[in-house]
Amino acid sequence: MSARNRGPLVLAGLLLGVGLGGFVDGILLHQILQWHHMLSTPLPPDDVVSIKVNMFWDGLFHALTWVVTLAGVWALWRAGQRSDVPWSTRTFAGAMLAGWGFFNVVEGILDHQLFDLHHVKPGPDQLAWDVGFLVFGALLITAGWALGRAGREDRVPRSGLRVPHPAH
Amino acid sequence: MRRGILTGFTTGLLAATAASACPTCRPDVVAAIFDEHFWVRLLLTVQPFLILLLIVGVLYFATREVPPPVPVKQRARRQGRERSR
Repeated sequence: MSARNRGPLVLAGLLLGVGLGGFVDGILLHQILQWHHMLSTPLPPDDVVSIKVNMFWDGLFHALTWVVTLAGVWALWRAGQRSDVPWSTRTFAGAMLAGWGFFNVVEGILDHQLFDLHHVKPGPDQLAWDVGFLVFGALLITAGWALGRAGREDRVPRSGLRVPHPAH
Repeated sequence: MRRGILTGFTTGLLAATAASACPTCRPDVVAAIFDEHFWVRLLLTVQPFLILLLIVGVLYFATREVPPPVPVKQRARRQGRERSR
């Protein structure tokens, strides 16, 4: 019998994908490009106080992504200690891509469309940017799913761990 | 002259705090964060993460494979074999 329990590695990859995907959003779109902040729509960052309030909510958002990332590191550490988990790059990378994609889709639908907290790039083309963000997320999920599916063939646990014996 | 400029610059740096850029901002910022919308905004910020954790949980349970339980007799036999090594 070989290592077949992909769940723990998928869990780690998904959590890290969600967390790091959140950091891409927060660092790239909130801070470097400054296209939007957490509450750009109800509280446009037009003065110092509004910018600082938006920074507070951006910080809270980053704190949550940090917690999810930490949970992902913990899950990866645990998965690496188990002999029934295949140490598959394809499974892990696929789960990470899917996690990032799920972040974009869920955050995009809720924060951009339903709650109207902010848009990817406010302005005349904001709907196009929002849809692009969702499409990018869907592509990441598809790529992650395909990679993870290919990873089903990987059955070798992390080196140094004994493969569990079959139940006769 | 040079020393005076350096001293003045250093004193200015030490005297300047972030708050002095906008002395009235801090109370305004705190009031604007913890206004009547605070709890709703907190819920809205946290909600995507709750849904994401739900999705992650579902996918974890869908991909994990729990090995079938080993019958008691067989487990005892295996343990005996390991002890005799």
